[in-house]
Amino acid sequence: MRSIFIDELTKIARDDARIALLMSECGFSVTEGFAQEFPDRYYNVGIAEQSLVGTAAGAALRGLRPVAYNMAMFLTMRAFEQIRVDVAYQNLPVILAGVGPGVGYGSAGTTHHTIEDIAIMRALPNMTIVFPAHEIDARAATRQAVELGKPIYIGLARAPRQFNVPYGAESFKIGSAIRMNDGRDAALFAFGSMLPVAMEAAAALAGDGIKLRVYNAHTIKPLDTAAIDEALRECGAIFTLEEANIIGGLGGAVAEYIAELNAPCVFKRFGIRDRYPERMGDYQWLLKHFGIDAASVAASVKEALKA
Amino acid sequence: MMKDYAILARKIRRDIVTMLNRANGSFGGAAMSCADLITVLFHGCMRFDIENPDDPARDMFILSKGHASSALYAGLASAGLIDRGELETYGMNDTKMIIHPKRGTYPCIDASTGALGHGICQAVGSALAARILKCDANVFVLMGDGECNEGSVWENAAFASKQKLNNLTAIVDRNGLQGCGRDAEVLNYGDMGEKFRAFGFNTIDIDGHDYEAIENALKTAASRSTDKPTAIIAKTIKGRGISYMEDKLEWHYKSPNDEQLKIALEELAL
Repeated sequence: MRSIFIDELTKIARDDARIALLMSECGFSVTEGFAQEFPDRYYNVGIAEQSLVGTAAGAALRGLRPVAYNMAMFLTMRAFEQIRVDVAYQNLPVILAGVGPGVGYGSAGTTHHTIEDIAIMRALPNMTIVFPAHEIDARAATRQAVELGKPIYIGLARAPRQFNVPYGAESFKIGSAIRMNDGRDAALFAFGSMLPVAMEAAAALAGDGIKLRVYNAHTIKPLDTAAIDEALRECGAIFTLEEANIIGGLGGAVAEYIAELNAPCVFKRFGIRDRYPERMGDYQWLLKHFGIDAASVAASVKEALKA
Repeated sequence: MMKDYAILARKIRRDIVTMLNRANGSFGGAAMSCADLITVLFHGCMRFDIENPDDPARDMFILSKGHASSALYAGLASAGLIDRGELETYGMNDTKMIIHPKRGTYPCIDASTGALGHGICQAVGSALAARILKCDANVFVLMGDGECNEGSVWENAAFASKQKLNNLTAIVDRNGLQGCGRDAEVLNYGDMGEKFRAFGFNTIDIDGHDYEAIENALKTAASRSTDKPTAIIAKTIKGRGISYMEDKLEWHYKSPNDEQLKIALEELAL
């Protein structure tokens, strides 16, 4: 996803002189093309995330549309105050591009996982949060992020699974969830790397006669409440799936919305249940460990619908 | 010919102490220590058009030690960039003259500050952007010496010198007194100029209350005679100009009461 993002950014930069790419020692074998084509708009600030985000904000103060690019955990957490004060408070058009959110860095361990980003970034006024799941999403999200002209955090899955989506580029709009199928027994909202997992779970459930509707909830903030309304109306049961802590994540956002409707429904959040793993394994091992692989999700949906 | 900075600075200090008394505000010591620097910046160095303060080509200023904003607001009023009557709203309810300033509220409030160690990064980003956009503007950032405890200052200083940002001037208000003690007792940074030189800056050490020295240093930095950014280490006295405030830690927090205001205005008589 990061290569697609950088490729699209490079294309945009050919026509838009405001684009600058700042990174903090991240992007080996990914950002070189941009660097070669735009050497005066490409900067490595060193292993220094606070400096990265503050410098990007400063460049935005003078009219640039800078991208601050780094691994998701260091970008969002080491530089959180710069994100809050310099970017969000000042409402500046900085694109925060976080690579490998969730447990994308797998066996590298918890220091390199990012399960808290959704919760902390959601808490920032003025912040938009988008996680593309597919190349179509990533290209459209990159262009729309530049056009947005406001703070945006884009989570770029490290090794996204290839899968087919039933829509074209024109369907992707920041802020609007995309309905992936016509299931009516329950709706599952998923984003980024969890979207193909949700689709696989839906396929497995179809074999059991359960028609699970999946939404690509690529924009976590602002939340597409119209899509939730639609799911409530047409499916009745709502689930969320994320490769992040369930506290404060997409599930939290949906729960907050539903709770204030005073309209009881079947609802459950699937995600990492507020813990760091004691033992470590690769990406697939971790998904299974946290119960967010396709088989576990399918089983959980079945269980929840039975209750 | 040099302007009469002494008179201008005295008026600014009178405004500061009056604002702090009215708002029951803190940080008088920090404001007084940089009042002379701000006086010379806005009356003798920054390039801006008072009729067109939003001109993107004008020089930029970031008060990274945002808590000293009373000095900035008074300085902007002194320079004609703010209506002086607005100073009465400082720190009051429903004000846009916020104790820690917000970008865009007034001309030349070029960044929202108050979280320490942020100003230099934004100044460097702005200086970098000015270069990319082929804009001639200089970028000035005024930092506290206590603020230099923040690691982000040094992360970014290294980047500024690597990028040869000679359109950047960092001014350190070296009053030696931070929130809970003297620099020497807390982290003991010692020779601050040496630190900035080690990070690749030109440095100029001055008496931060000597108007001629301040003007010369700012003009030297703005002349961009080398390919390095400049750090001006301005030795100052916290609370300068008001006898009971000078070099007293408690004036980081205390607010001048009516009696103290009276004494201050007498000492700062025009």
